[in-house]
Amino acid sequence: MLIKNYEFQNVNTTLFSPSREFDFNAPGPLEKLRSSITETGIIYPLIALPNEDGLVIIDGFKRYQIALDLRCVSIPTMVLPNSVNLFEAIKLRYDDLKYQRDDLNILQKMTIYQLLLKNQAGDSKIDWWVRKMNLPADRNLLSKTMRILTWPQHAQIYLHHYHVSLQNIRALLDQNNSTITELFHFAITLSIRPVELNEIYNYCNDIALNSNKNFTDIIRHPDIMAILEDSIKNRNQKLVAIKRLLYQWRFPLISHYQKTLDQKLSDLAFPSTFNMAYDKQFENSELVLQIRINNEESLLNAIKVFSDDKKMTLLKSIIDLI
Amino acid sequence: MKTINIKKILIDQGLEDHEYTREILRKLPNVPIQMLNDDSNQLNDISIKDGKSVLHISSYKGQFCKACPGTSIQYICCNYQIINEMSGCPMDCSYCILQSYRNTRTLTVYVNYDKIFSEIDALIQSFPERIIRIGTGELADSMALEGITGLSGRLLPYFRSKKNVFFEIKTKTNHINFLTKFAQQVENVVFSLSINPDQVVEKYELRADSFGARLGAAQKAQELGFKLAFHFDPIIHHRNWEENYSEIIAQLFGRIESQNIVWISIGGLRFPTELRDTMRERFPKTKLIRDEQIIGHDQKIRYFKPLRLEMFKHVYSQIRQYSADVFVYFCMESKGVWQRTMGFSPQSSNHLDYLFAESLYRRFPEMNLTKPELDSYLTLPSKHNQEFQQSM
Repeated sequence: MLIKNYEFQNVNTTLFSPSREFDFNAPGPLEKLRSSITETGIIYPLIALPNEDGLVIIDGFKRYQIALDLRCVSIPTMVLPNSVNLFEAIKLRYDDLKYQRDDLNILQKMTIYQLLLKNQAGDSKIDWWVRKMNLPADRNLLSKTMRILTWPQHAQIYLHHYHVSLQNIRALLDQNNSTITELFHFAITLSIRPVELNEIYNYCNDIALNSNKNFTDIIRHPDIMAILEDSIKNRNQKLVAIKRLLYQWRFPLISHYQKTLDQKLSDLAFPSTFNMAYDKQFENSELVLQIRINNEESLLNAIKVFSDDKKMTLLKSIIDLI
Repeated sequence: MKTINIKKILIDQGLEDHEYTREILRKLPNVPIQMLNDDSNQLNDISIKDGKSVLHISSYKGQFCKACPGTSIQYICCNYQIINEMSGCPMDCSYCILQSYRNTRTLTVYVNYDKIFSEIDALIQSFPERIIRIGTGELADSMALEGITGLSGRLLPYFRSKKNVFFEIKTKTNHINFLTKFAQQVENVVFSLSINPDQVVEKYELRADSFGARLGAAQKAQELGFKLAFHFDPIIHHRNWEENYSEIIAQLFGRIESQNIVWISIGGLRFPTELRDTMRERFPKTKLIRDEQIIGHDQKIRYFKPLRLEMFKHVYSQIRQYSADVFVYFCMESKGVWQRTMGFSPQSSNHLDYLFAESLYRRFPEMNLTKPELDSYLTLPSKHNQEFQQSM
């Protein structure tokens, strides 16, 4: 078997790699491995399988990462012959070596799923992979999920970087590439995490469907672009402002009632420890009156309000309004 | 309803020679049959869509008759009793709760349905003075499969002799041919329709009959001497909803005598949160999950209250334009909604149960119903009543 020094920067090798990021500088075995490679280089070669895109690393991911980190130009690699069964190689890597399902992101899980299909691995082997990686048993859904492998590169980088689960992108599987391009461009611009992105996507999609517009019309709306381009706001402020705007578009009636309510409470000069609102997560359909009693003063305020008949009547009229 | 196309019959092991099984099989010649073992997981693999053309013959292990699951936390229920004589439905309403239940994907018929009679006997004996409202149509449409199962036709004669009991059969179809043989014989059977404007039916009640066809069936049932009920449930917010609901209410009272209507329910679209995901997946562009909705006290998604009130007030006022005394009630709504729509509110689920009984007693004297006493209704042991009061 041939051991060659490979120049990995020109070869696609990430497909089979765990997406978990290792801290090679933390004390422990990884640090020792790093020191050893720094001093003597890689002694045991990586094991890889050739495929149409380059090499698939079967074993040696940590060595590979350290070597890249140390700017090694080439890495000794034992390239298995094409005749090695792909399934056996995958099994060796993910079963015998005890890799867990959480080590891979959805992109990686689906890449292997697709490879097994292409290689006509057979139902039992594909089912093994699906079970092993906790993928949905529904083949139609899996086939739809394979679309992520054709998503633009920046979207794939996002999936990899955030270790995105299928749950977080399931709603996106029916979207066309231009929507995906816009959405992930937006996500990367503001470093939006997957759960937040899912929420923003759902808002935009709902608004688009309710108003018969395209998803892109919403995400590139001048008001959103203005927030993105606002040089005074930081990332968090921009995100909050965008979410607030989307919320208002998605729930105009509820927003209107919330605004009315805030105004009325302000008119009534309720103490600032009183907050009356619909729960933002919509946990309650009724009005939620939240009273914070932190100290003696706020306690006295509360007693004063609840013993004031006129104020109670006004309070009741607000509740009736909603 | 569009033609029912049963593509496969599944039979639980041991039921293949049951008389009722044979009867059903005679009506479905040439349909492939498969026997199911006790440990078969085959039912789990059937999709919602495929399940609508699979008939499963089984036996029911639990209790057929029970209190309507309703909802008790801050919302008022009516102490209705349900009979789960079948489960699954060949129609495909986007909002249907059955989509969340894995065990109701097939059209399941239970051969041991005769247990229903003893269960109802026991129920009646427990509450001899109470006017009981009981009905099928909770986990299945009461009539969609009548041509195959003949179940409603089997239940009807049993109820004929039951005093103080109203038996309701609910449907979204016009499958009423079987009612003909019971013409003028069953004063306590209520033919009941869930209705919506055709704009809603076409979009969200796939394979169900049009409003016109349903109303035609109601008119026929009226001619045959059946009492009638209508359920504006779920009311769905859509473009021109005011006009469309006004129109169907006008048509309804144009063809149905209000004295034949025992009750009318009003209820807004509501569904458990998990159904939202199913709807998103099965009907990705549906507007049903994209209106201004909130999660209610019962953890069900429902329209934002001001929107509900607007719709309820409109539908209620339209009904009242045509009939001052037909009994109208809300299904699963709060005291506040009752009060602000109708100007009063039942104090509890038991109180609503009493209001039903009082209306039925007063409006149908020829039935010799037992006069309802408020105190005895208020003290009835009722799951909903107890939970409602605890939540207030």
